[in-house]
Amino acid sequence: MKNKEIGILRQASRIALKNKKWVLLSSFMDLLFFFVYGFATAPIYRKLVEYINVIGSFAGEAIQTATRESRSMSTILLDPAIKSYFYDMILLLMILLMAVYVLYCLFQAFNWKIALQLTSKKIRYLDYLKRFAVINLLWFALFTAYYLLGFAIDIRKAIISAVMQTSPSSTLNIIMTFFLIIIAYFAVISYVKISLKKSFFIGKTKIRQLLPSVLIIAIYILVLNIILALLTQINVILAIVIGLILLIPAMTFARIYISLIIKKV
Amino acid sequence: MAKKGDIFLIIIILIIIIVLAWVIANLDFLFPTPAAKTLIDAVA
Repeated sequence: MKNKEIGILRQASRIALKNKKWVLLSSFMDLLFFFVYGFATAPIYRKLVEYINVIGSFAGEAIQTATRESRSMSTILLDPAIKSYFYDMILLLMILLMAVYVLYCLFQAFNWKIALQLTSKKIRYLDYLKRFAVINLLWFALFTAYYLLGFAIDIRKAIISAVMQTSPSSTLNIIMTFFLIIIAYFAVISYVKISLKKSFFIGKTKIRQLLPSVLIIAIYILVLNIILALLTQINVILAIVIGLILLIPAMTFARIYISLIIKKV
Repeated sequence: MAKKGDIFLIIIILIIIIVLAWVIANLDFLFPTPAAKTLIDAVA
């Protein structure tokens, strides 16, 4: 690790220690975000699972009917009785996406605003929120594409395993992970620069300076994940408590650190 | 002092939150769970 990164890490620690109240508030908002997110999305997920179960059980029946009566699958799946449930499912997915988007923007704009404020970039919350919401339209669209593609890949894998009796290659999963890392990388830069154009430019031209810092955070989260996975086997409550203690303040610290790094490149 | 645009934005945000909260609270009413058998019978 270069001296520069260590220096910025120290500076970020100093800022965090000097502004305990803001760090505490930001951590509290992260915690609140997780709770509100859970409360808001759990009923939608539950509903979606119910719909998937019903349509899934129907799909089994539909295959048998199609084979028996020589009807095509599409004719059956486009039957008015079924079609409405598919539309409802799409509507539910859109509600889920909207709830996630609104909550993410409201809470994370607040936390990024705190990080920027601590690294001496004054901006009003509502002004920041407006730009944050616009920027996130692109990231959310890409993120949704990532999930839909992931879903399609999972289905493909399941079909290959069932029909060919062989395990499919993981190349597509690796490409998808890479795609997710790229989205996250540019998204984080755009939250500091509050401009898509600038974030693409800096992300591309300063990748050598920015990548080590992003890797430090990624490694921390990866190690934390491994520790938590091991702890879950011992005690779930202990894993949750330690996870919250190690993750929530680290998120605030990571935001301060990233703001500093991007400001300095 | 709050700008006119700020008040407008806050009202929009509040409306979105209230509508979303209402939809989530009334999911069972808005999206009644279909019974698998009814669905199969309807198509068969």
